Amino acid sequence: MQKSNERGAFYGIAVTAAITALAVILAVLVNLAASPFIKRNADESVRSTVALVFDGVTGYEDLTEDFGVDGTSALYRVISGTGGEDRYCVICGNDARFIVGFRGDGIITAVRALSADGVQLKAGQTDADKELLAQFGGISADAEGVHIKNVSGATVDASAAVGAVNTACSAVRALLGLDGEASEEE
Amino acid sequence: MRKSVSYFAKTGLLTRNPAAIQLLGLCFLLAASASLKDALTLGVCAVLVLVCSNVTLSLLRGLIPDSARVPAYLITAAGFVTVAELAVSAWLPSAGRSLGIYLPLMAVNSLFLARADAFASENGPAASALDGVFMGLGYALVLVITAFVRELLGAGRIFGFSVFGRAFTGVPFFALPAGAFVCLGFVIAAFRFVKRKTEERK
Repeated sequence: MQKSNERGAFYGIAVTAAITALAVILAVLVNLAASPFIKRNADESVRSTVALVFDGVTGYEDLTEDFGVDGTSALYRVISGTGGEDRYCVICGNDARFIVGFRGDGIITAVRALSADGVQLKAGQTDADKELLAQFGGISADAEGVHIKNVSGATVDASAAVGAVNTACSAVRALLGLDGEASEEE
Repeated sequence: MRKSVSYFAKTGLLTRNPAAIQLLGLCFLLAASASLKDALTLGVCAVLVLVCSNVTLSLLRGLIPDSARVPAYLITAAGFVTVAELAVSAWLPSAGRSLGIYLPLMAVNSLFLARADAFASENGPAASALDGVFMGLGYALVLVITAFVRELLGAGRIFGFSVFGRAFTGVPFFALPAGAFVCLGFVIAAFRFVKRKTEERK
């Protein structure tokens, strides 16, 4: 220890750089081994989340980068084995997160609560929660400001759900070009 | 002086327990003790990271100058925490999702820095590995006990199973950070009481 203390400042920097390089090499090697599993896990996680609002999901296309708006965590085009028309789902919300499913024409099919403050919701599963979230079904993405009635006993915050659905509608409007149609009609 | 395994076990688990006696890494411990399952996973990760970090720094101890020891210790611990994070994300995905930010935060846990500076930098790799195992287990023990108490009182559940029946859904205070402080205080007091009684018996 005494001997190493007598060496200059450059030596200390060189040792720190060498340890950093070793740590990076180790992390890169482990990442090479782990990345196929991480990718597969992420894929399974998305599929199981999308399955909350759509049945028969066989795949998805991530459109978040192209059409995501502020407050949107993810936007997917959903692919099902039977084909048929396009379907979309949007994950959004801040402290409380929701997934909103849309038909190809922009009509909401289902809304589910995912988490609140990073904690998986046991909330969002009660009959009152389901009744509250069912109010969004059938609303069109180009509707002016979505509103719902509060349901007594619901553990889902109605205003958080409305905020999330409005964000999801903005993203789907941008995706389907409904904003453009509206302004042309005006 | 050659130290026995029982010496490492006794010091790491009780007389110099890193969390309860040396009060190391308490910030992380308070944040990560909300769920017993997460605490167990983090405890195992802490043991593995501490062993790897201690052994590596023990092997390099003659090469690291005093002026560079803190960055060297931190980078080594951060490297092994990154490996642990990647491994958990790849092979224990549900645990990885549940742990969230807590696992990467472990890189700045003062436990690794303290053990590297106090032990690994002055002892051989075998002794440093044993120190890592038992100091890590001691830390994990406090983490798991705190999480057990918080989950039991805060949610009335252990590993998701209801303990007191459906009528008792827990006291929310214990699930909050303030509850973590109170629980940890009692756990530390209990450890210190047992340590004092053990010393008095001698």
